[in-house]
Amino acid sequence: MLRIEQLHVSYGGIQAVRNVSLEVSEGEVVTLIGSNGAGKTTTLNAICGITPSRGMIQYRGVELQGKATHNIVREGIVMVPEGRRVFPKLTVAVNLLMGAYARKISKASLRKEMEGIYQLFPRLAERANQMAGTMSGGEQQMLAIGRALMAKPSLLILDEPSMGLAPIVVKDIYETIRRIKGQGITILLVEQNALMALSVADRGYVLENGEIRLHDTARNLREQDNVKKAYLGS
Amino acid sequence: MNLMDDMLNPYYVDIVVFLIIYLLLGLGLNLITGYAGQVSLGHAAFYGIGAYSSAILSVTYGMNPWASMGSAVVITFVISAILGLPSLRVREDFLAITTLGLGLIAQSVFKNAEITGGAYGIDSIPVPSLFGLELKNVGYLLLVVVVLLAGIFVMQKMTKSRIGRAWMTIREDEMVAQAMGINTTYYKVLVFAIGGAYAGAAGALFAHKASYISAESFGFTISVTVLSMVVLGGLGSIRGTLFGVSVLYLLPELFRLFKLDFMEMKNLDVYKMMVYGLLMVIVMRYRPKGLFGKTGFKKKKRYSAGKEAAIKGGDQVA
Ligand SMILES: Nc1ncnc2c1ncn2[C@@H]1O[C@H](COP(=O)(O)OP(=O)(O)OP(=O)(O)O)[C@@H](O)[C@H]1O
Ligand SMILES: [Mg+2]
Repeated sequence: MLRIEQLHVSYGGIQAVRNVSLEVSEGEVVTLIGSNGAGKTTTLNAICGITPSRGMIQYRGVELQGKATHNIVREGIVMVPEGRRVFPKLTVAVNLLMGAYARKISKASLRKEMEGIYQLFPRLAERANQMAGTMSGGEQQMLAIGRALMAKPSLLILDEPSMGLAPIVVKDIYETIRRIKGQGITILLVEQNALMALSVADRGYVLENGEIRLHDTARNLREQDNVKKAYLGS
Repeated sequence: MNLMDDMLNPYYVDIVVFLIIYLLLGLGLNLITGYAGQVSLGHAAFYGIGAYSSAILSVTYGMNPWASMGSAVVITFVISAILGLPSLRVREDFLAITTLGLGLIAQSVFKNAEITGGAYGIDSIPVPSLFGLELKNVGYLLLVVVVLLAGIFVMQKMTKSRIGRAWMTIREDEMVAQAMGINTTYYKVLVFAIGGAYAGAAGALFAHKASYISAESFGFTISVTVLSMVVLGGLGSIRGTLFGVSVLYLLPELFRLFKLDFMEMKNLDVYKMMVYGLLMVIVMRYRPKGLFGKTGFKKKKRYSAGKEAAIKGGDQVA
């Protein structure tokens, strides 16, 4: 479904991503793991057209290279950005509404879909009219995911959904990711928390210094000694 | 109409007419800076373009004042869109400096171009008439009131619509706005065009009221004054703009009215700026969002703010 070949991104002469090739198939959860500065966010930004890049990025047979970000969304790729980045001074409800911006749907079905999100995240329902910026980190992450789901993605990209959250909240978020996977939405999941990511993913890629070091099934990666040492803390 | 003219002291009528012209200026700037978050220090340029367009069309080309005023709004809409293009490349402080520069350039064009009458400006700008009656004093007051009400109505509709939400999202987080499918380029240019058109309407109304315009009326001070008014009232709030502009506009008029002994009338402008400055400092200290505002003037850098919040948020979530 998503095919990336020989992706290169450089920031003013510094190569942040080198020769990255990866593939995500329909219905899969694929994780991209790596430590700080490995180039994970850069790769995602390249896919979404936020950062200019070289190389092939194909989605369902359509070349995304050169397309503007707001049009890439219309192809069905929606990202939950690193650090959640909810719209802080807009209410929870308006944040969700903005998620559906690119879609042409009736008010009635919009309301129905919002109900669906509130069912997935009951905490958001209680806070529908609260300013998003006043919520806790975990709630903001739920909102960021809910907002992305409102766009009805065929590919959902999550950039470090566990960042800065207490373990119990991380568990909650991953429970949700499993449920989203159950709905048949394809997911590309970026994480430093390799243990969590590999627990939900089908396959994984390990990124180091802007290059793919390893790629395998999630099960095999969990067993790999060097992955264990570097990312699983054992 | 004439009877009413007699009843209402033309001096007060003029004050209200010019107040309403400032309200239009403020509404336009609030759209650009308050709703869409694009700081502009060059609003007087749009004001001047509106005024000169209508003046040139009606005086030099003999166009009917109604037609020249309408055309002025359209012309300002187009030129403002072009002057808004820098917002696509620079933001915040840099955009403030860039728009400041554009404002200065515009004023110097007004002052030096042949078509604008150079340093002399343009005079004998005709008054529009309706059913054979020249719209002076109260008639003109009715005209500006109608334009203002229309302006408020349109702005309310716009800001509550899809367009308005797109603007607010751009203000909140431009990158994420794009990632939600919003064509930020289009909406940023659009907000400058529409906000500029408001200023253009204000300029055209000013020109035909004053009957004489020169570059002096469209300088940096106007841009700063209007920005102060809008910030004082509260960015992103229509009521706030109406209130902020009215207070700051009428305050100096009160000085004039009561002719306080200790003040020299010829220094009125100096007092005015001092009072504005003082008010700004007080409001920003105690109500940084303005009196009616939903959003602060200086927004935090989203990216780092997000990361910080994320890290802090960790222990607070249960
Ligand atoms: N806008 C930018 N300008 C210059 N260099 C950048 C920019 N963004 C990222 N980089 C650099 O690119 C490299 C990869 O950064 P990136 O954000 O993709 O890492 P990451 O894997 O997402 O890390 P983290 O887990 O900390 O989020 C880093 O060395 C970083 O300093
Ligand atoms: Mg990152």
